[in-house]
Amino acid sequence: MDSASILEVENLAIKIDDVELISNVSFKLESGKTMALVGESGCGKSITALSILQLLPEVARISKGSICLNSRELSDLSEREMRAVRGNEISMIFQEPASTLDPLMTVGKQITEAMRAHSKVTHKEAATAACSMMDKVGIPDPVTRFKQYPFELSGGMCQRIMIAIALICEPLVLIADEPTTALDVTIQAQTLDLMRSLQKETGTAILLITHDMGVVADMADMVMVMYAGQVVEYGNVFDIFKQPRHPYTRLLLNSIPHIEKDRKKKLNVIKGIVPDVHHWPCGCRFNPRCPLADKRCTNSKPRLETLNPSEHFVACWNHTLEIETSYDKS
Amino acid sequence: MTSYLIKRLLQSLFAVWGVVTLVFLILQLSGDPALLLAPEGATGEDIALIRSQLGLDRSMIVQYGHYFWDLLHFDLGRSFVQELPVTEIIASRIAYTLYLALAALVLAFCVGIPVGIITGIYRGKWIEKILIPFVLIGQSMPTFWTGILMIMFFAVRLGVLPASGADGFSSVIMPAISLGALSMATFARIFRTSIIEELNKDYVRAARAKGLSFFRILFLHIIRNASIPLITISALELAMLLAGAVIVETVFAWPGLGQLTVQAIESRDFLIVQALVLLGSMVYIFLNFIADILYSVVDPRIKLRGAEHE
Amino acid sequence: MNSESLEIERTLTKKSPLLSVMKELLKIWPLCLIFGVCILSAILAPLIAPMDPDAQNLLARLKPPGSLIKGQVYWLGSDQLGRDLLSRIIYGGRISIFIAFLSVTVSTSIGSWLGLMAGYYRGVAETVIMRIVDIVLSIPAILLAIITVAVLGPGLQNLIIVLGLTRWPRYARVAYGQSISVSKMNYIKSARFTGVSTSRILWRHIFPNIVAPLLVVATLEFGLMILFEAGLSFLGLGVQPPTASWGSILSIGRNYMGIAWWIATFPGICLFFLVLSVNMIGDYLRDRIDPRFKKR
Repeated sequence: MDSASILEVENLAIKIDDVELISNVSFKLESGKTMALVGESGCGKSITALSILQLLPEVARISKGSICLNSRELSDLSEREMRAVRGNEISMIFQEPASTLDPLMTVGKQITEAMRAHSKVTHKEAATAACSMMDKVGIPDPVTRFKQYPFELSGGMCQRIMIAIALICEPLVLIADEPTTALDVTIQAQTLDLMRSLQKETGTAILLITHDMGVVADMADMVMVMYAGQVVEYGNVFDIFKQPRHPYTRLLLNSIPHIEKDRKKKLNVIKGIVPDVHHWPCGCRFNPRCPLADKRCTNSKPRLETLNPSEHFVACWNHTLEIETSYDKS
Repeated sequence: MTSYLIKRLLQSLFAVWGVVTLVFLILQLSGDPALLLAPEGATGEDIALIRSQLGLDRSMIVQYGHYFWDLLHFDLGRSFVQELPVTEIIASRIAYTLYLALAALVLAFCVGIPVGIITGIYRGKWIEKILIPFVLIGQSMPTFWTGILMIMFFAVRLGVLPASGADGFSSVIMPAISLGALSMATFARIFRTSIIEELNKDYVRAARAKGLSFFRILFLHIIRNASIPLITISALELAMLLAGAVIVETVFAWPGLGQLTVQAIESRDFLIVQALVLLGSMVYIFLNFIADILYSVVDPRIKLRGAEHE
Repeated sequence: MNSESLEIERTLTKKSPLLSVMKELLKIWPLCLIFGVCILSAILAPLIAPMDPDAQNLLARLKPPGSLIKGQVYWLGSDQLGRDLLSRIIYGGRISIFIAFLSVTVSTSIGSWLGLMAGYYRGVAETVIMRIVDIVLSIPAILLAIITVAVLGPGLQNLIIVLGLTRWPRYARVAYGQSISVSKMNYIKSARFTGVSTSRILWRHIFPNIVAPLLVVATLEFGLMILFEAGLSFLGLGVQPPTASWGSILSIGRNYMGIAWWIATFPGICLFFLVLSVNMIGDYLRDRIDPRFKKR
């Protein structure tokens, strides 16, 4: 096991009944680094994240694979042991900050609650710690805010509270499931800055789930692209942006609208829609929408293969081919 | 908070005025109120006497004024049948009804809420499948039939509980159960729905991600959020209890206001009927207002925003 | 995903709200069967009742179920005047169902219409109508029924009037709330702007969208009216003797609890099953077609 890796996921597969939601998902998180998990809605990113914390809905189960936190196998832990991990060693923040906070409890109490669940501190100690945490995440006048309810705070503030709750126990890993999607752009930037600075300070590994390539470019060190429940490309952020190899990644990057470009041009979209979990396409799951697909793609699934000495993996038979110029390459 | 409650207070006062006026109009619409108020076997002379005595020969406006004035002084008139002031008659019985209603409500809470919680969190499990039919049955059993069945079984056949009357604790058991059965079922269902809704909410998942134990989440978060709809429903349930009391007290010969209502109609003592209707409505309006106060206490969003949450 | 546009899609593509209701009802056919049996026996009462419900036979008083007297089988026993309980129950069911049905029809019509007006026109109509609704709803239902009976006198006809007139506010509230939220929708606004006549808007666009919750309320109210009528008749304020109704039979049964348990038991069982099936159907419909309660 890599000395810097704090979380290692290997060959993870999750099923509901007989339907496979994700399969063959493997990745490593390193302390102080951010891994972005990218893909369209429905590709399995959130499920992957939830499975790390064993928070899958009842009907779903991990059918294969391992999740290791500091060499400890998480899927073997009992619910009680897992509870000690959640919020403490691995924390998670979600998309809609306002609805992920209990509307009937003061925000301060929700922070101290997280703290007191994992350590024996008095109310007073917890309140002090919460206030200083609120200060750290940039909430003005924490003492007043402590007693306020979520509906009295703006979306951006609520997200900061979520971050405070997540980081108060100084976890090793922070999973952020689309943390900025529900916020407007300026608040988005502030929130990401905050996460980055906190990461520098605490060395927390961040798993950032997003569908926004701009956020990826801003925050990530490593990128993992998922499609239809499988990892299609994996590598560090520079490689992915400079030399995307998987057609899906390439199309994703192409569909980012550019301000400088000709405004009259139609936006690039990827044809088709994400397949239904009950009807995964045969062979490579991207083949119905792929401009490079050929017979081999329909017949057999490509495996993740290393491209070069640096960690850049791709699962595609035709990744060396060029995509037709009907798609504008930036 | 105050502006919201003031608004609600005004609404309640308006409702009070409205009910008072409506009852007045109902009486007037019957054609000749004196006929209605006169007891059985009253001669034409008696009726004329009543008419002048009660001022029923004067114009409607004047009558309304007197009526309103009397009510403000809690003067509900004097029953022709029982020859006692109505207020006295009611006062002698109100304690019984309160006792019964309270017992029924306590029962409904103590049984209904745990059942609601259990069936809410253990959906699909065996315990839910056993409890749900009971809830459904409780909702569909006519109150008076439950009472009759219980009397036939526990009093007539087994002889363990008294069939009627109001002496001793054992005599309140069956009436309280038949009165409370419907409310029990309603509370269980409403709470169950509430809990299921809350369980699906995002903050529950986030709370689990914090590492909180399920019970803590249940009691400190879910139940508090789920209780909100229950508060308004409780006020409505009390109205149902009032309705049920009329029937249950008749079945069990319980000497409360419910029994009085039926007796009053049978003996054509309209003044008592009128008084009870007014009393019942006032209580109901009052309870609704209390529910709003409780609502604003429990949900800080209302307190600070005064928002309407339906 | 914009829930409003989903709602629009749903309403535009709906063939007719009635059809979707029918389809849903088919799925819970056992309940509908029980309900149907009750309705059918109410309609066919004269054909299926073995005896005349009012025929007294003083030689056959208080006989237990299954008794055979002079060649006639009293399947469910007889009451204190020798009348066949089964026949009385069948005819009583007819009366009860008839009353419930009629009163629901009356209150639905009055209530929906008033609520619709209040919700669509707003302004004075809204204030007046909804204030009256508030006032009527401030009086507990049974007390309102009792005072109205006290004024009008007991009896079948008056009972229907009483039930019809005292329940309409419930429908009005629902219709009001729904018609307000539907009126806010963009397609209604655009219909107004393009000059569609008001009555057309009301009938073709708003009304179909408020039918579903009204239907749910009507179903549950039907069960409630059955219970109400039974309760009032039990108290002697509803259907008058010698007419049979489940409530009045039960009130007789109460007097003979010790010696003729059947009189107090069987009407109750029928009441129970009818109300149970109606409640379950109402709940089922509510979960499926009421936009306020549809499970996500």
